[in-house]
Amino acid sequence: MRIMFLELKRVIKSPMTWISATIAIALSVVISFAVISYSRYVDVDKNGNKVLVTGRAAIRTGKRAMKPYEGPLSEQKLQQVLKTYQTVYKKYGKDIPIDVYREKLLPINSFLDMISEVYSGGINYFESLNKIKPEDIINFYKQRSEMLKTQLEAKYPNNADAQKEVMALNQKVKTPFIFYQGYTGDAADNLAILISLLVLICAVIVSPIFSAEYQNGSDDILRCTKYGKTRLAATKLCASLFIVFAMFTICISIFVLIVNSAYGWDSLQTSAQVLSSALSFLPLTMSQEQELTILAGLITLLAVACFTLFISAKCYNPTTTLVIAIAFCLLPVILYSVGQGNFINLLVCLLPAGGSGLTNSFYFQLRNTLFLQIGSFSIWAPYLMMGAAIIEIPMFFILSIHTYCKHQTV
Amino acid sequence: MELTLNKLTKQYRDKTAVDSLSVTLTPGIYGLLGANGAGKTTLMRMVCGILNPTSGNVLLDGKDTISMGESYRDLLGYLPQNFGYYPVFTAIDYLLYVAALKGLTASAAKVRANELLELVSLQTVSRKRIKTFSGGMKRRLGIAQALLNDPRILVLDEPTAGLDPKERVHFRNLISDISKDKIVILSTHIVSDVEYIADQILIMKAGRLVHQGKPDEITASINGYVWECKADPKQSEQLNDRYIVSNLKHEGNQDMLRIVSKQKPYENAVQVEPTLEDLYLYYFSEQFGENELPDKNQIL
Repeated sequence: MRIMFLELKRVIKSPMTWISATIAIALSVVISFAVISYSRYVDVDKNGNKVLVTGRAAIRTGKRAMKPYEGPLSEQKLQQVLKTYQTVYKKYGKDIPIDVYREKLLPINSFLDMISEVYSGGINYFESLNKIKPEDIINFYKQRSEMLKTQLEAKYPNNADAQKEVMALNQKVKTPFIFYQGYTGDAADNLAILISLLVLICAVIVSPIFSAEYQNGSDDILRCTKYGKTRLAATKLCASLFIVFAMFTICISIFVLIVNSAYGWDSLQTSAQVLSSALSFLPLTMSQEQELTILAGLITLLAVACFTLFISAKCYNPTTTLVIAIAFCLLPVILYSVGQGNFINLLVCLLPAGGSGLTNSFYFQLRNTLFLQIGSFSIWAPYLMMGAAIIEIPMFFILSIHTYCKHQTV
Repeated sequence: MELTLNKLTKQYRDKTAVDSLSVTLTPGIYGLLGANGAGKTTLMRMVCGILNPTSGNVLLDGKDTISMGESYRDLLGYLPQNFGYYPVFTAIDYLLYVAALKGLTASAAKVRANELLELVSLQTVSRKRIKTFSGGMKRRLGIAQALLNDPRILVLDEPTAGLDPKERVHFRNLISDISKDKIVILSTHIVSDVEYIADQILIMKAGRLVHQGKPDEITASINGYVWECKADPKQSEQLNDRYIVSNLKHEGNQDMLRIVSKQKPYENAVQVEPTLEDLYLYYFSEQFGENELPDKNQIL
């Protein structure tokens, strides 16, 4: 324990750690307040002119406007939503006055999106909303499952296992959906972006742990001590992981506290389907989705940290380690953007940083029905990402110790 | 206690750094002399277990030190030629860190660290960061960390590099004091570091042990080869070109030369008692092959 404490002290004293941690905390604060400040709500002033309200005012205005719609989204409520739209459209066509739009349609836009998605897959938005009969909405949740099934059959015509797995998860989705105004899809997206940035920063912090010692020769003395091999290597790894874990916890806590407090903690009870896609088959509320995203982010962070420590134990200087680590952090994003196909997607999921990034990340894949083929076996992308990361943590941990102990002075 | 280096070899792609070196060491001070590239540092690293030999092994009382692992390292103290340290650490922080790795308890570590800082005259700067230290101060800190666990086997690679004469004398005396029942291997270019304290001198050249013995025994091997003579500056220049000159001193309009040569190099040359430095030059002069002196016997 004493060696652990001394090693923690050593790493914390390093300027690289201080600077990186400060940047991480600053980013958390900036992103949190940026999310809030980018909140928008279209209001109308006394003269009937459109006014764009932003920030906390937008959040307050939105909450007031959406109050009547909060709670369970029953079929009857959705029926009323559709009737309202059809009445307004019938009266004004596409030239809807701003005050009418703000009062009648703005609050129900997200529900109309859901109806369009469930009944026409989200295409021909206006046409579909005008064609659907309000009495059909009484089967909204049943139709939702049917549409999901149809889309799966189209996407995976020869993969009955994938279809079965998705529908099994969909069975657990609680209906009617719950809605509370507040927490937005933007906030969830920015959480994913923050996690990706924290993963990069963690690679920066841990990259010099071993390779800097090789470079300045300080490991020569340490290796000759009683506990200077396996025990020291394990201690360095644990200390590094603890520091990145602490940094992640502090930064995410800052984000969650600022953003959730601004939007209202009750708004996280909203069903995930309301903010993302009505066809999302995950049986989660926004709160649960947030927790899952954070947990997945932490697992990815630890996998990347262990991988970077392994590279550090291999390389003779910290710059090389850093370049390789950052390259591997960005590789999933690059591969996913430029490549296609099962092999590329598999590679993306298996990389330590596969769970972080942009559209390739765990958070975005939660909403996706991307199944990957391994032989005759299909696996949903988020499962593969997390499974790989969970295996990579102990694997690279052990490999790092082994590599450090085998290292030869040049 | 017996440390046996058994046909130790370290082969790199294009060079044999240590070539089948065998020696048995018992408690005492061993001065390891050799030119740059002789293989001293490579040898010391293999003794300390931070470099694996290509072949051969290091045995402590018959047991292979690699398989002994922690129990061997518990007996070691090592100061490398390039002392790497953590720049953000203070001197006391660094010693406490190394002490923890050496297995000292917290209280013992504190006491020992402060004792050693006092011994190497760094007590007043114990709370200053190592990166602010001069080269000599860093060296002294390096010596201190090597002594933390009162090691039975002390390996010091150029320990006095960067130390002023007073500090070097202090260091010599320190080594002499602590060396009882210890194996101390001390490599240096500064012959005087080992001349007065070493029990045995080991001379390495091109990866091999070319000579081993007590200082007076090995210097006796070049008895009759060391001369002193006076010459005018022009002749002095010629002698300098032809022979190993271990010392040249200008005295008015004459030069006093100390020459290492099998034959009398000059008509007025007189034989003198050889020193370890003469022996070093004898072995490591670039002009000559192994243990050879020039064939030129011409007396000027």
